Amino acid sequence: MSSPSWLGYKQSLSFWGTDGVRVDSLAEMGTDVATVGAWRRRAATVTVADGSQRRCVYHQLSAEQGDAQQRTALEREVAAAMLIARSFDGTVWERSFTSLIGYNTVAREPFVIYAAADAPALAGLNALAIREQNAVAAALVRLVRLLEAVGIAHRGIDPHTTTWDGATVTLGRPSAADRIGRRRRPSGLGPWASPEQRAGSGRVDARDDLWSVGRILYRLDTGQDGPADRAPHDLERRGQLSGPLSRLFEVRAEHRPGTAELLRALRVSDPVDEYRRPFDPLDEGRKAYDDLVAQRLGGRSGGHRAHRPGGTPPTGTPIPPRPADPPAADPPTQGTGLFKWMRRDG
Amino acid sequence: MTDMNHDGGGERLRITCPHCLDPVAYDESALYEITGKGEHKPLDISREFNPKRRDDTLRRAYQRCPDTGGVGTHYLPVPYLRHGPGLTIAMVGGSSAGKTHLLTAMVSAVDGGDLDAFGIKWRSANPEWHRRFLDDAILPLRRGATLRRTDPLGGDGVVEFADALLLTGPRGQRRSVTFFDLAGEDLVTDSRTTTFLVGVDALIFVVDPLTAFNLPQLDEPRKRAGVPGTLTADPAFASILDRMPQADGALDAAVAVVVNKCDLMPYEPPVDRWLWEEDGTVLDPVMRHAENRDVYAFLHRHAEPSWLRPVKDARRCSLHFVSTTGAPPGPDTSDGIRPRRVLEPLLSVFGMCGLIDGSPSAAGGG
Repeated sequence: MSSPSWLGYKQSLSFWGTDGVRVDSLAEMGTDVATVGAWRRRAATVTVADGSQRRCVYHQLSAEQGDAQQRTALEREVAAAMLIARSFDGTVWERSFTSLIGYNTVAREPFVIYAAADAPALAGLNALAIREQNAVAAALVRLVRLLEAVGIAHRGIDPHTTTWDGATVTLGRPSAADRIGRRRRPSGLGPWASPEQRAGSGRVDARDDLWSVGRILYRLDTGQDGPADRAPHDLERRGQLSGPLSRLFEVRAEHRPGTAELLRALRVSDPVDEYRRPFDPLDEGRKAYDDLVAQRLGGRSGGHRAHRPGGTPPTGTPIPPRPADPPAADPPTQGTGLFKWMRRDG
Repeated sequence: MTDMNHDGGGERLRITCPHCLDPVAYDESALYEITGKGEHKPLDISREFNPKRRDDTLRRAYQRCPDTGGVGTHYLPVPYLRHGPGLTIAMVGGSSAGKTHLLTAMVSAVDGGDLDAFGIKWRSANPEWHRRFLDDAILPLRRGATLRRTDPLGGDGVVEFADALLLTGPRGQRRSVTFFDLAGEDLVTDSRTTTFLVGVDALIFVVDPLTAFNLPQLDEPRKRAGVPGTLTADPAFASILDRMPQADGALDAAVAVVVNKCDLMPYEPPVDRWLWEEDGTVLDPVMRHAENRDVYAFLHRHAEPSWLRPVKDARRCSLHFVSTTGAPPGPDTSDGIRPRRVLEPLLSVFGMCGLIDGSPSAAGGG
């Protein structure tokens, strides 16, 4: 992002915070507006009622140029950002994700606000030491693994929005994030977005993000972006990328390693082992539903499987898939779902 | 009504008359055609042996309803009586639950061709009924207008007919599907209503978050809508459930429980997990189970226990998160609506009533 001008104008800004509570604020908006299609991006300093201030980036959809599809895309983004905030705020990974400040998706010109980055983007860093490159590689794979554990793929990891302060990698806003297992919607540009993601074929997979990780590592190592649709020809000569990481450049997602497998190969600890699932107040109700179904089925239920084929956890609640990689698919079984689907079944 | 009466070896399909709510079967001796002056004139096709001409005549023919309820002389389009077994779907919920909007959004999706993906073909049972529903409800909703309750046949306000569609499933299963709004809180137990309820095949219970859920983010919308607070139960639910026939202690009708207006809490887990799913997940047994479980847990956590009564009373039931408009009332809706997941309850009812299979591959829904 270009240097913002802080000689902007002030406006009141009403939005919802990550706790779902409405926030009335005063925002000093930067005058440097970056426009991409129907989107406007500008720096802002937001002051809330208690006087505290935060440097932010404000992304707004133009009413004139935006359409219903883009509104829906913004809502998907906010849903992903809220999921990330719920899952990782207050944990050691909080700084690894661009911090959502708030959103207003019902405004005439809907918007989302994130905290401004306080570290340089990877694209601006030249000649990282091998040790640093290794640290970035491990951090990126661990973050992809964490997102997989809560059921989403970021689908927007690139060197221009991912930052590194020498200790922490921070992923950019999850503007294209989606649930693992959903049909892929076309998104992103080469070489950062995987071929299957750009084409919008198949279903969202954490390995979409691993392609992006591989391309970032290639850029850090060579200073070049490399070809968009295939592995660079000189991978063999790249010591850092010729080992387990070389499989990140496979053109097809299913040929790339799973996140857990890759972490093992890299001898990096699996963050899922350190991640403690937050208490979910809905679990009691889910248990009550299971009991009701079991009762309806005359005690033949025998409990229920939680995962869908492909590994998407069934709820917004983080349920780390472990230890399988990719998470083992539970086959659809008769007796799950409705008490009875058909009048004469069961 | 899906019961098939065998009459002299032939099958007679009993359908609910949307005018008088009586069950009615196709009767070739009671046919009429409409003259150029718009009058009904008796039609005799007993001597028409050319099958093509006969079918063409019947497509445009009407049948006089026996009208045992004394509503007055009325006629039903023959295709409505001959297409296949009837499937009567009634929407249940309080007056502000948004059941008219939901029903309209469902039929709008059907009208827009959204069932194609699931191998289901449709046509209107009567072009005039459908045109009226289109003009009075579907088109205004698509423009983002707030709907009035409408009954094209001028119902009594308790059982309101909305539209009827002739559907053919992916394996050729045929149903004449009729949609009704039930104003449960005003339900009078007269013989017509009782007969109607006996014949209902599916009930869609519409939960209004504003009256059901004690969530802080709903306080502001509640204030805007003039809703004083949450209720311990929806009186309409109890009113219908108390009157519905049961077999072996459970409702025989298929039941879908729909948490409507999810746009008021789109990022609340697990609403956020379901609202952006594509249509058709209800045909996947694992996904269906997961959503049922999540919606049940949500109601269990945030609403009084009575809101779960339809689930507990039902033998066959599914639960859904739905947004009819995609956004709360405001400037956004002026650009039109963005319904989400409105087909899911309908597909579920179709599955429970045999119009489609539960298997996604069989239904072509992926």
